[in-house]
Amino acid sequence: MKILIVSTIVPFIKGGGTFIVDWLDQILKKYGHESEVIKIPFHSYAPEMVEQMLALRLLDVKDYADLLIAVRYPSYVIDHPNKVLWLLHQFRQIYDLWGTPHGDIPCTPENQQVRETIIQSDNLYLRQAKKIYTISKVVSGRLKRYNDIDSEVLYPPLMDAQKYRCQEAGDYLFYPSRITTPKRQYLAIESMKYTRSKAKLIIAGSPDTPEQLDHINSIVEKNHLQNKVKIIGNWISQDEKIDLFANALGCLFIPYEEDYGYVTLEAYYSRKPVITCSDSGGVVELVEDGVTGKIVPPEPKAIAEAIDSLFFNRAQAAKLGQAGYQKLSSMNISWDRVVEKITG
Amino acid sequence: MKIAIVNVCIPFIYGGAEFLADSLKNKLIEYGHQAIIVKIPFKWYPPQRIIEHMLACRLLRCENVDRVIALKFPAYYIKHPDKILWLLHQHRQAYDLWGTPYQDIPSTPDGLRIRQTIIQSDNAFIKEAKKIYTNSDVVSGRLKRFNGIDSEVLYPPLMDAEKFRCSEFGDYLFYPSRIILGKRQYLAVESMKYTRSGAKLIVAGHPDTPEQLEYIKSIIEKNHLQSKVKIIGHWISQEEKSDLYANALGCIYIPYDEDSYGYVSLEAYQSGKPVITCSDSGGTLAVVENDITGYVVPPEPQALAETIDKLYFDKVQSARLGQAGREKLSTMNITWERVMRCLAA
Repeated sequence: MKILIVSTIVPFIKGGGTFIVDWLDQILKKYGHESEVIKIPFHSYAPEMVEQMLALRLLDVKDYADLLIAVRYPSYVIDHPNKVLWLLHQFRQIYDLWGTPHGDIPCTPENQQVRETIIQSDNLYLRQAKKIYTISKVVSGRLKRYNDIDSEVLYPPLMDAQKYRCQEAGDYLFYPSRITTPKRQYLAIESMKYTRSKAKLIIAGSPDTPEQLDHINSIVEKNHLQNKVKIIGNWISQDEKIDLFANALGCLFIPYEEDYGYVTLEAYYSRKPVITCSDSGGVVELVEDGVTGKIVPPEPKAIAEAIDSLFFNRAQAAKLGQAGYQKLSSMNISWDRVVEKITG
Repeated sequence: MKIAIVNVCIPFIYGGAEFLADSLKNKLIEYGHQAIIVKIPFKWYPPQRIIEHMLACRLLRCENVDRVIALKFPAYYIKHPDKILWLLHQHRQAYDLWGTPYQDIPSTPDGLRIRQTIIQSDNAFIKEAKKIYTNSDVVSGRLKRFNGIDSEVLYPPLMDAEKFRCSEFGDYLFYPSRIILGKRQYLAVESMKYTRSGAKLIVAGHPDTPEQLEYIKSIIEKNHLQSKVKIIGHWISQEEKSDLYANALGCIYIPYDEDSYGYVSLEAYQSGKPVITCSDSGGTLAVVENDITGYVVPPEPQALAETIDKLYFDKVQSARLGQAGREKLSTMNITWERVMRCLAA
């Protein structure tokens, strides 16, 4: 089958949302399909969003492929008679983040109008898909709540999961992620003020802007946490990442209202427990408190306590990590299933 | 610098423009830049779609990018404060192909309006670029003639030129290219009916549609040319290609009215082989000089057959023409250093 995968990107920003597209492309080819990826730049600046959506709608690719898979918003406005969505998320700024401190679009009359237009076009164009899959219950839940659209959860698998391994549990918690405010690396650092154990924190990731990196570096300095916190402020290779997971005591992953989060999967494949927060969204679907990790309120002291308890009880930490690994196999998160669902 | 190469694409088609974009990206990275290729799908039928895709390109935004290098119509309509054009194509159906069988847009009032819109938009938006380069004299000339816009020619170099080499002068002419009517593989095959020498023809390339491949094969069968013509009907690897060049007697590249000289000519010369082209092939004439670096003949099977025989019967002359081709390339300053100076300085 000829399959076109369409998604949107912010040029030069890599993350889960770009990997899922590239991986899906590789897997479809492995299954004998002809596939091609189209990544259209999209810029989430409210006054220019509607015209960019119009641009996507104007692109006519109907003749070029038997199946169109749309991934990141708002690529699903592209027209195709056989369109399947694997929705990463909608434009959250106008849905769950609207009017909250996490929203960055002021509630002006103009923006209100932009919001209305996007909601209406979501209502219209999402429904034109033959099937709608999302990457997590959180995303499906929002789609139901705000647009009254039903969907099925299809958890994205990792690529090369077998490369992750568990070695000796060291004395550090590992937090790999893009360095950006919603990932709350600042909260991870602040919690290190309150740890009583010798646990350390290693943060690794490419900062969205140099300012974001400066900001978390300044928190480390202000609190004299240089001995406890190490920041690797750039994109690390797959091999480095696997090593850092393999030797970690556990993984800290505390984004605000994340949609899914590959980090949890990577930790579990490395048999490491995951500490997350009760408001971390999709991550909470994969972490069971006291079974595969710990779920705590998004407060430095509570996080510090969870870190210390892993440090002081290593046998327990190992057991949680092992349980995480088993949880993954029981959830049937596999590429076989993804291909069957999407192309079936 | 963060550089986006913005191009249009027809999904599942890979040709010279795509190869150029990939090569440019790799070179930009080699020169220390960050680079990505942005591909915007394009569809030209029915003609109204052309206008819609022009509008789409205009409405898209390319943020978090320091510079845009735009290649083809209508990708170059994208708005960006630091945009440089390396123009490979305007929409020729509205320009030089208008009034020819390749016009494609009907001469109805609607068709005329579409043509006008294309020309007016080109007039307005091409000039937004900070600098306008084209890939050939033909494209620069057309831009001047139809739109009154000046530009500079920046010839696209080969990627990995050092991988091409000359081994020996075998008994076959090599024609590597996408298999599509515009490249006229059928003409190359038909000319083999008239050769009197032991020369053979190897055609290699990915067919745009299975029908195009069937068509070429049917010509071979009908004329019983199986022993003289070999078709490799799929994309071949770089290694296979450079091997096939290295042992060829020469190269045939006879597309109809192309804008640029085409990578085939560069690859042939880099491999020290002469190029046979046609007087109506367009851009190839910028590098192929009759009797100096190859042969320029009318687009007729007998004329082609005659030059093929000539190369076969005088391999010393073939080698001389091929060598002259290689020397011509070095005098034309077709280098990535120059491209980087122009596009990424």
